[in-house]
Amino acid sequence: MVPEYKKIRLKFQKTGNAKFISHLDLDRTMKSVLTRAKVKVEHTHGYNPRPYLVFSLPTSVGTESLCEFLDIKIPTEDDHTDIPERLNKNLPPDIRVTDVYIPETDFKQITDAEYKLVIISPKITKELADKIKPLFSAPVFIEKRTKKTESGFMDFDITPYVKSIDAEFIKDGELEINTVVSAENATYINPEYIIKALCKYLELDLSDPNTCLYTVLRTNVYKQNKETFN
Amino acid sequence: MFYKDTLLKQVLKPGRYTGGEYGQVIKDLSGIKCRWAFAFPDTYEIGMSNLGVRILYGVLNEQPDVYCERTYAPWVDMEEQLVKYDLPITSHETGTPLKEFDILGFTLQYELCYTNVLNMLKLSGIPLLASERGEDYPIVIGGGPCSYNAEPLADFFDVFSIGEGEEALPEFSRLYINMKESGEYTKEKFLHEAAKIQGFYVPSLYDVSYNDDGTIKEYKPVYDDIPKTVTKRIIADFNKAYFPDKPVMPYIECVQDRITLEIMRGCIRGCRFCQAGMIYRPIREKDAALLNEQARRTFENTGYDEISLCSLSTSDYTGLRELTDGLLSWTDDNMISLTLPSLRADSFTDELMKKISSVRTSTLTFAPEAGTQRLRDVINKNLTEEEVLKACKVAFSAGKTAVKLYFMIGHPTETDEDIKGIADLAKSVINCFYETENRPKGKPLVTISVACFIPKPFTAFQWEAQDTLEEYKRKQQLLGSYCNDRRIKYNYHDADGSLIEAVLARGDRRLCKVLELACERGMKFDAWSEYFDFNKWMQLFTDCSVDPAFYANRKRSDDEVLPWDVIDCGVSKKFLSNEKKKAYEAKTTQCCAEGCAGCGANRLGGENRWCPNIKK
Repeated sequence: MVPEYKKIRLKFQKTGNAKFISHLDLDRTMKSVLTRAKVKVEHTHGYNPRPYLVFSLPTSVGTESLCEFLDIKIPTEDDHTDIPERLNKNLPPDIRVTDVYIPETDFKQITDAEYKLVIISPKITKELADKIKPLFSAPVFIEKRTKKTESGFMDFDITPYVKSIDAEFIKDGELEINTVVSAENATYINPEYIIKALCKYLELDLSDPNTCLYTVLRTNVYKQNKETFN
Repeated sequence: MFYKDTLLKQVLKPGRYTGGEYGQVIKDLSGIKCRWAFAFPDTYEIGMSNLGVRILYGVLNEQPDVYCERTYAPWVDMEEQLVKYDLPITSHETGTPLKEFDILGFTLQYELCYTNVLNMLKLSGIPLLASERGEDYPIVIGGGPCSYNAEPLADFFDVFSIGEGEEALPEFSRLYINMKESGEYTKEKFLHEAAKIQGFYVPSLYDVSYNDDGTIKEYKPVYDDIPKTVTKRIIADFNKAYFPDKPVMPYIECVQDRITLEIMRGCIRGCRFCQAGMIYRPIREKDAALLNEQARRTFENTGYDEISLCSLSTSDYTGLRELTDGLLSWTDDNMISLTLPSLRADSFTDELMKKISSVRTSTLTFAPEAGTQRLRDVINKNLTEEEVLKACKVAFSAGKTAVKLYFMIGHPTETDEDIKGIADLAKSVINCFYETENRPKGKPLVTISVACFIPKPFTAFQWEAQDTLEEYKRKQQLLGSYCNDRRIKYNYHDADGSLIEAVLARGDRRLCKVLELACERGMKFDAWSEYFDFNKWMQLFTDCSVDPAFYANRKRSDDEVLPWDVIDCGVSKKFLSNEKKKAYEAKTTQCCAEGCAGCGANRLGGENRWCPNIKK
């Protein structure tokens, strides 16, 4: 008898060391965590059965997130309310499941994502911070990898994809930027591009681990009309 | 302020360096009296796959006052960053620089990782030479298969642990703690005491003298109260051995991401080229019911979807049917697949095929090792062509179109006829495919993977000369010319690397200066083809006035003192020499299951073993 399955959505955070896990590795981690927590999930039916795991909008390596989503299918009769607790017992401390529910939306409805970027560098001053907002009123080019050109790189204008950007000067040496960027399939951009652009236009070098740091944290994802997606 | 994240953003696979994995051991340092850093001198992905590391990490951390942390060789991009910002290698758990540990252990799995060992010391700011490391530096200890002849590393290590470490390393730590607490500890006194414990070889306490022809004259202990030869340690009762049922779960994908179930130690077969088959004797099995229980527990702790039975020859395990039946009673329902590497072709049956393909299937590999019956008898493989073909038939009728065969070239007494035999055997397997009535659709593919023979210590061929590079290259091409069928895929290993490996495998202490210079010249990751540079090695030998042929291509006489004579692995030199003579006559030796061949390893003891009772 083929059991019936229901789709449930897990909302989770991925911070600290876990930000360095690639999407593929997150998939593997979640797979084994579900097994450890004895959450029965539907598997594919081919030669190499794998659990059906569907993630929303993967973050790139190095990006932390407070709002990641994972859809799984579990047997209809199974209770799902205690799943976050069971998973959290089996997850590394840097990944936490915060919610579970039957989803009413589809990942395709996601339009934008909001990020908090923090830049720490001795070069950060008030004047520098003030330069950021007007910067995006004209095209901002970054170098992007491509297969289309011979050099393997092309100049790419990110302004159309940056829906809003707000720079807040915290103190000398520290800057906080809140930005909403497009997250639709065709127009998704990596928030690291903004960091890249700032490095280029503000002549920042953030590679020295003794003085510089930047962090990227996804704080929210939105569907149309800037409603929070869940 | 130092921002580790900035560093990690500039390297490939930062997950290699973060630590913080599920299952890592975190301890309160205030109760710790002995801190270990357990180093694997290769990348994280390889080190995390190693069963020995998993075991010893667990065993040491079981001791309440001992804390063992992990560390791995940084990949070249990370090394660049470390050098640029003058940072040391640190441990995964607490981020402590290796220099600050009490004991720094290296597992020596293959010879070509030696340069990585030295590079890791260098990057940690630890002097390479043991004699130049004062009391403030950690005790540097080595173990693993290469420690059976680690003479090329003798100058860099304080001590080697010979044999199985589950009991030896906690004992070693206890000695350290006791001597520290009683106040009698100095490094020198400690090493002297350690040398009295079975299984610990302190190279600086053995003087080596040489004959005029460059061979070794004598190994002489510096003290009267340490043994003349160091006898390896074994776990007497394998059922009671520590089993790592809660391993650290790596974030990033590793080479072996599965449950590794070690079903027995040692091998009953006695192939004459095989070092593992000798140094892990006597054969000890683990109870099938216990293994099943350990597998179940590990599955619940890890959530892995694959169980791999691990041993040198899985099909020789007497409880295989009971174990596989037991495992299959719960693995299928949990979508866990079973893999059985190291299967002998002569024992591969329909039943086993079904068992390993119930959830997922992978490629089947058999290892005839030589192309003709004569040569297979020389190496004591005890496998006939008929048996190989029968096994392939089983695979084909189960729907496989591809099989893989492992061979070696360069065995003693090998002729061109034997080389041709490899291709002939591959062709027979192809014919066998078409003779299989219920074969799958499509064309067969036989992959032959051909390695170069490397004579290793503690084998019947330890006295043999390795083929020269020219000869290897000629034989590789010759074999290529016979593999003229598109259904045969011919892969061969690089002969250059095999030569370096052969030099280091049977090397002596005079190679220390070669390795020291290699480290100075920035050589590392020699097990990686992209970093192995044969010309650099040859230049090193020239600059150090060392003749690689002396170590690799020279045939030794039976009475020569070998660098590893200072180690007793249980199997006697007399047995090995007798095996060598039988090899020349192409006479096989019965395996342990058929009767005792008298290798001598049973005097080390051991429960659940094949050996006859120990004569007292």
